[in-house]
Amino acid sequence: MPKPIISLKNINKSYLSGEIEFQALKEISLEISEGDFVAIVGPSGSGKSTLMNIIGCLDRFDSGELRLDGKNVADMDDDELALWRGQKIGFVFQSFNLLNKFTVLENTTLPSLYVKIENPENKARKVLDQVGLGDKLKNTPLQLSGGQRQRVAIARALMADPVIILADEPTGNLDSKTGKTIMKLFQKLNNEGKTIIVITHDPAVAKFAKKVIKLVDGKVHNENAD
Amino acid sequence: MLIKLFRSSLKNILTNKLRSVLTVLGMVIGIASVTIMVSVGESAKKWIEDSLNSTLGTNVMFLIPGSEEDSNSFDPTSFFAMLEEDDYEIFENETIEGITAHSRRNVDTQEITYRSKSENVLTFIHDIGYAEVFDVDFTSGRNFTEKDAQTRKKYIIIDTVIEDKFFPLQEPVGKEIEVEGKTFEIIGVVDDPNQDPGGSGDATASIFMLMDTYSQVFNQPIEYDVISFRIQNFDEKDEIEAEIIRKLKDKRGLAPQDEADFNIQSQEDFLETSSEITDMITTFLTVIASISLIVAGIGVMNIMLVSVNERIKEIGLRKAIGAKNRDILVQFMMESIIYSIIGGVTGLILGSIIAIILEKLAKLPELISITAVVSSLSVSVLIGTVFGVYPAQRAAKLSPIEALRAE
Repeated sequence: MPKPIISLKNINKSYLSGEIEFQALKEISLEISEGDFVAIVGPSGSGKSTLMNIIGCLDRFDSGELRLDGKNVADMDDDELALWRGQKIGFVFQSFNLLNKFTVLENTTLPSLYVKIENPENKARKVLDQVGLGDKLKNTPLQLSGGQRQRVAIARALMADPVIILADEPTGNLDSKTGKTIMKLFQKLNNEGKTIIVITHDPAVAKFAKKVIKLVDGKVHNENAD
Repeated sequence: MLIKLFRSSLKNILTNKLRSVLTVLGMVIGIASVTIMVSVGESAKKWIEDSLNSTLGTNVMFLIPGSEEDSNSFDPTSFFAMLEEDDYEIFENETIEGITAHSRRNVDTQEITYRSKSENVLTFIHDIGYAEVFDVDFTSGRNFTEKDAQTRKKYIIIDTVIEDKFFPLQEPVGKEIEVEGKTFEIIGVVDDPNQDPGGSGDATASIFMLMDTYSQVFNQPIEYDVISFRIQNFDEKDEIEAEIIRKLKDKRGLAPQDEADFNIQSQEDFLETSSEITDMITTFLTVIASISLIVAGIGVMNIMLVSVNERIKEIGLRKAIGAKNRDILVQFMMESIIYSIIGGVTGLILGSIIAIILEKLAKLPELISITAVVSSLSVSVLIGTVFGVYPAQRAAKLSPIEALRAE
């Protein structure tokens, strides 16, 4: 059994929406092991985005325990949390979130502003090769197709050698064919040893994962290995 | 890290060219106006000091009408006040120890004509001692003599400005020239004596004639607004001043304890008064120019707020990939400081060029105030900091999820 790289125990999270308190996550407990490829699925409002924010250390939770790479993140302050997610998590977003004024290479090296990375340019070339964009270094995102942009974002996520890649609807802005190639890229990265978590509402996307976690109304519905 | 941030900020500024130019323009105008005001002000001050020092020397003093208070109050009526006709007697008929030369002076504007060529000139009406008091430099001919004064001979002295205009190829001495229709003989030429303290500094076309001659030829009363005199030793200044005051009070029937209705000014006093006036004007104009700096600062703040708003998603992303609040703060502060420094440096260069041109046109010493340079640069950094803090803090405090979710 590989060691759990993420473990959540009884995580609760609620939001105040106006006067009404909305319980987004209820007593969530789950473990994700190193080398896993997990899809978190569920209808909108099921709490999957909240879960992803909490796993990604972007948001805080009300109660429970979250261990990330062995460390309890509950008692970290904002700066420690920022550094921790910079080192441990590679984010991939639905809308790519690239800086359009910067080149592909500059976008990819961006994390090196905040996290210590040895020789960031070389590293960036390496990860861009890995995602198949080794020849687009000097282009800007606006000169690229959607699929290529998402590859840049994935390369950026790989920069700091994170323990997990957290992808929030990574294919949501792509056509199904391009979406498939992106998912295949994730599969390839997973085969090379990366732990990958994909949040999606699309069952076709979830099929690429080794494991699917379904959320309904803020609770884990069932947990099936494929 | 800082260098990378700097490059990334600079890139952001450079890609938004029009906006950056407009933002910076406010700073440029503000800093340029302050630079111009301070530089031209300092230059004017230096010019006044230089010209008073060079034309008067330290030993020239002036007896002028009005109490000391009047002459410091810039009361316009004191401009036209005259001395009493017989005030000069204490210089003429008595000897005051330590005074080497003295002269009354009045100024008139007259038309001179030579061979159908005419020009309006300043006529300096004075006594023989004038040339000695002001250390006037004769390029040709001679000064008036005692005999000229007694005979009321229609002699005049001209300056080199008139010589150049009317006698470019011939020797003016001995020529006859008409002043308001009366024929005068030129007996000497003097080099731009610039004898008017605090005057325009331009070489003015001037002629010089003796007071008695002027009075008789043009049938004018003897009038004068100043008696200038040269003292031998500057150390004796106070005693000589006291003696003149005593004598003149006596003559005017004032008791020694009464306030004098005349006063004596030295070149030092002129320097002081002139410096005070230029300082006042410079300060006033600088304050006005500084207001534009505040406006410029608000412009920078405004554009930074827009920039933060436009880049909320970017801020979210940066936070997601590891940026601490401080990193975001530094990034935006850096941007606003870069804006300000670019504006400051450009404004300084532009202001310096304009100041030099203005100084050149006004024939002032061409100088750029070091104070202006140092203060412009520090003020622009200060503005970038002060007006950048709020937008940068807003950016830094954004929660990463809210920021990422923003459209």
